[in-house]
Amino acid sequence: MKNRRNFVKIIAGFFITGILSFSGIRNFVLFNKRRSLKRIFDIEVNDNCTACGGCITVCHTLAIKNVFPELKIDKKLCTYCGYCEEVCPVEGIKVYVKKI
Amino acid sequence: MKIDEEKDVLIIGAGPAGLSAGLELVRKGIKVLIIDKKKIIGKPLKCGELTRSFIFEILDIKNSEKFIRRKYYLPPTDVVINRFEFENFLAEEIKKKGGKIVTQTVADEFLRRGKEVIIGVLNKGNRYYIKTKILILSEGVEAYLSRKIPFDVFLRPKDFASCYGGIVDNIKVPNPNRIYIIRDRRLYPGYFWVFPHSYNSANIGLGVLGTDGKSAKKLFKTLVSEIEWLKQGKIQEEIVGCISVSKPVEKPYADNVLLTGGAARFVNSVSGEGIYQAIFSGKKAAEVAYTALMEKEYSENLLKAYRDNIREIYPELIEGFLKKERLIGAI
Repeated sequence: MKNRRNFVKIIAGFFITGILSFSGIRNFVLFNKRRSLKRIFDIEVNDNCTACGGCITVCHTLAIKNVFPELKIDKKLCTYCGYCEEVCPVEGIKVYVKKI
Repeated sequence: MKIDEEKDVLIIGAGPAGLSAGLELVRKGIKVLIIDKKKIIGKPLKCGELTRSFIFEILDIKNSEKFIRRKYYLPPTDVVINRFEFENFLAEEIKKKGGKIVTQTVADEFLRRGKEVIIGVLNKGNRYYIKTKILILSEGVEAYLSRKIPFDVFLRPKDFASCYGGIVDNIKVPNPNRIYIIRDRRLYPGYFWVFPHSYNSANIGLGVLGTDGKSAKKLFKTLVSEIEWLKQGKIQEEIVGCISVSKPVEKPYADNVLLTGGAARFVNSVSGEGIYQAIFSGKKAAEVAYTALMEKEYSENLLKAYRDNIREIYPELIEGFLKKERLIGAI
């Protein structure tokens, strides 16, 4: 009896995920996930930065803009992927976990 | 929307590509507008300055000696130029012939209105809109606006090299008539370059793939301390930059738009050479833009000629990209 109930649950789960993915609620879930990332991570530019443009080149959401001689980060677009930190020649940009 | 200025041709970025395109157009009598985000053209320095002496022939510049820092005996990349002097000379030429160059201006919006395009720019915190018939994009490796149009020029860290170096003096160069390429396991497949200006000064630096996880500055410091004849060097001018090591764009044109230089990834993936390609593509873009203006037709069909005119730089670039892929083991 118990096994059967679990089986029903799994099937129902498949149905629900299917419906969610079609109805745009998935986007809502992802959006919330990103918001939760926003609560954990932060991004910061420090004094080493020379605005060479490396981070802008690899930023896939175009969140960083070069307003020479400084950078402007749009935190609404940032996904905290860490590519910018990875490629920076002078360690001028940091993605870090917020201290609570 | 208020249009602040109307132009036939707008060029974004006053680097080698943008300036050579501008020069070609003003020579033909077209008033261009060039915008650049920097305060001073050519500063800060972002590269090793090694290029081919053929660029002066392309641009038809006489007495080129004043831009050449050193000439080597290894064609085709045989001269180190002074990019600051060179770019400012080009800018002066353009201004003399009626072109306009505006600095401290960032272009970040792109809109289509019928047969023309509108570019939103930011100058000292104020927003202006410029209407143009033809847009030549030469933003260099960043390609911020180019990706908004959109051109397929996204880079992954694997296709990206970060560079750090400097113009140093107080060193002892064994032979200033040749360039030095120093390979090292820590940089692989990047390399360390020394382009001597004289017996005791040189442009030195390194390029390393973006995926390496170590910053180029740290690597530079450890490597310089290990090389005997570079140890006492003092950095006069810091070089921080980045190079695209991706394959060139298949289709560097769209309606009203031409893509040139580093923004179109016209950079050799193995050597990192890009000045010659930028100048060549800039000039060809200007020629195509001129014919388009004469025929008053700015669609893709006419601008297609640009791709055919720059066909000759493609084989080398694709070969370089494939070689780099083989070096990092992607193929």
